[in-house]
Amino acid sequence: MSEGEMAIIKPEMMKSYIWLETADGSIQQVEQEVAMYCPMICQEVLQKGVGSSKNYAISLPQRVNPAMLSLIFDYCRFHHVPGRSNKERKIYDEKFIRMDTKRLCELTSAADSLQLKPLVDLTSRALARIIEGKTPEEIREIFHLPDDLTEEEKLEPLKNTMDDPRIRLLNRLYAKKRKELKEREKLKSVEVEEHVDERSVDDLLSFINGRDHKVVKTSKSKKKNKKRKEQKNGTSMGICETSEKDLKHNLHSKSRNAENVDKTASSLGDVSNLLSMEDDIFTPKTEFEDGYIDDEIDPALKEMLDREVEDFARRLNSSWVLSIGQERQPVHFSINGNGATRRLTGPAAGHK
Amino acid sequence: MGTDRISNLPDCLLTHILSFRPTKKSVRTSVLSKRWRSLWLNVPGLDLRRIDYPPYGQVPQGAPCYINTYLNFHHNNGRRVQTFKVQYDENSDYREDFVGWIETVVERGVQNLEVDCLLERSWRDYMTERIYNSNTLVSLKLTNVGLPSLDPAVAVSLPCLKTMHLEDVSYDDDDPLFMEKLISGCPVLEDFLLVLPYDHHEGHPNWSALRVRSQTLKSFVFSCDSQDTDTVYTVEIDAPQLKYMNFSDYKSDEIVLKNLTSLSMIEIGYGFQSKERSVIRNFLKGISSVRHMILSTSTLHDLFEYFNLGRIRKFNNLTRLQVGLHNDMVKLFPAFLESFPNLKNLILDLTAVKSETKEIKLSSQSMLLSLECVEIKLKEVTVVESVKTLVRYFLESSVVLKKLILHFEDSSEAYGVSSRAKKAREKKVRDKKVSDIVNELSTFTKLSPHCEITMIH
Repeated sequence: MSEGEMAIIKPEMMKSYIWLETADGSIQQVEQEVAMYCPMICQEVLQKGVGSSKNYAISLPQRVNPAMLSLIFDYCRFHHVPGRSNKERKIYDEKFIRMDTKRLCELTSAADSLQLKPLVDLTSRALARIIEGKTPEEIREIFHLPDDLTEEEKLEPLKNTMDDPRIRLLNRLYAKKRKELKEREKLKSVEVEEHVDERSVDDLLSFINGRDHKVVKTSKSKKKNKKRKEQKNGTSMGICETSEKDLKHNLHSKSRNAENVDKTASSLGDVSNLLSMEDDIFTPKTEFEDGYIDDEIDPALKEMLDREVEDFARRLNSSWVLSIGQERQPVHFSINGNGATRRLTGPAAGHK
Repeated sequence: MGTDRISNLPDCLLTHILSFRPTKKSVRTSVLSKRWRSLWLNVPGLDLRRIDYPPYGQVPQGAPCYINTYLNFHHNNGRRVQTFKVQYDENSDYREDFVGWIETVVERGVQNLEVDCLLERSWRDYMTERIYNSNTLVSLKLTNVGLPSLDPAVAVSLPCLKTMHLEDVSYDDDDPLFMEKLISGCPVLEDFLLVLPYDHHEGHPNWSALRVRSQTLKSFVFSCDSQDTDTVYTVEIDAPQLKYMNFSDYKSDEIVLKNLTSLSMIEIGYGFQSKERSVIRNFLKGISSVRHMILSTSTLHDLFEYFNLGRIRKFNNLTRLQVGLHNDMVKLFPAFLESFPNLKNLILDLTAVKSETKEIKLSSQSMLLSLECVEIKLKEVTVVESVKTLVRYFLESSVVLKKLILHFEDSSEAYGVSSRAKKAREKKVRDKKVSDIVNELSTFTKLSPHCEITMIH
């Protein structure tokens, strides 16, 4: 519709129109309120003052072709009206999004370049749904992706497992330390004298210092009020013997314990070479067993634990950081009697 | 043949698409092509909800710990993990590691944390204390986990927290001021959801009051299943910006509402049983400026019991009302409507109304001066006597009624595999029923000439 015609048809309704030029040179005009719903267009109009006439049409980014532009404006035309209910908008969106994948991709691209976030989200979700449940081959076919990875590269994520147990162990150390400290706090307020042997602390220390773990009972601390706090059991560090022994001695002795024992034992036994190697290496030491019963030692012990965990973490991190930059290779760790870590294989063998 | 369509999208858009999928699924895209290899790593958060559970005793083959890879990638590149959403139970992969991971992400500045721990009560994991002092947390949603005690020397400080949802959380802390301290440590809190477990009061006999005081709170959902009668429990809400409240509570003996001047919408879930009439009266007074009210059937039932004909105070601002009715409540309903002189929209759930042979006499025949739209939900394509009486009342007494909508919940279609012919027959029967009803209703006198009657089925 030319400007002249428009003037004849709607003399009273002097709607302003915005002029837009797509990358292929064609020029369109759209009602102002509809176009202004797109942040990018809004910005161009307000900041640069363009778009008010054919000669000063706003140049749209390359990713917007005329077909997509018209779709986008359909969307804007519906949504810019404030009075619509959420339900109405949702129903419209669901119908709007029904198009083939190619157009959906084009539309996402166009909406993104116009910074129309709600539409970007809508189309992205639709594309995410398309990917859902499909095999990699199917996805490659739908989107015509090149199958340019080597077989080895495709299996890559599996190899990463070798690096992970270190972090998992670190996570467990954190978790254990926290739990153990929490237990310590609770015990301070318990009036009833209970023999406090913390399996978790023991494990911690033994792992760091490379000694054997004693069998300890986990404790239940009770507070004055009726609420029972039960220490979670069963968190083993992947050391199968420990978990079995400890859990059997657990004061709870629910049948659930037995289940957990079996599960953790079997599942962790399979996980990685790393963990089973550590099993073989622990030697007994008895330095710290009685320490934590005495309240006075608590802060000192706490500090010591902090230091050791940090030290261990540092050692792990330093070797981890080195390995990041290299080709991924299985890396084996062992902990010798002195508690130092040593890389058995890998490009940086000999470096600590 | 075809050109690579999706590759025209920039990496950030591809990552955006992946962000709508659970992380476990998006990791799999790393085998698609060279370009897709590490796109999943750039998704700004981890969504570990609905992790598939491995069969009992079995480790899933080749289940890499992508979570560690992801966390390390972000840490080593100086990026924050923005979102961490997790849902796990004792059978989940990495069940042991979640607590450590949660602590790690909290330490490293996560913004949105959602933890749903499907473990048995006594086994549940406790969150790290660092959660009380995060400078980055914007949204915290915890279900079925434990919260540790507050350190009395350290105040709660959550300067960015806008959303806090605590559902069935165990609280270590015995301090009756725990919740107050927690809320006062959140200066920009807007959305607070608190669902207390059924045995909460047994476990915390000292917690005699819940005080929710916030200058910024806009939405408050409170639910308490406890029916414990040994302890007295007071709920106090002082929130001048509060717009929406959902109150579903069996337990509270005393409810104090202050400054709810912005309250626009209220939903009352469980009713008012075992509360004193004065408590209910004060509650209704506290919410008197509300515009949109949703009442459960049991709530309305209780109101009818406590107040003669359900005549509660007048709600002059109320324009939308949504309620459900039982059989014996239908006749009392018109008098109840007198409490809402400016009501425009009414949604009635009459799916529980069964057929009665006797005719009912309505409690009031007063005019409905402002009612514009009535929507009635019914179970099947029949209109029983009591409903007809009510519909007749609306049509005869509403001066400005524009729409009357009968919404039939059609359960017959739900029963799967009937043949096409059968379905066609059923549809025919239904259509006939509908047209019968339409014919009958059109015989009723309409006070408002432009009123439109619609059936949805």
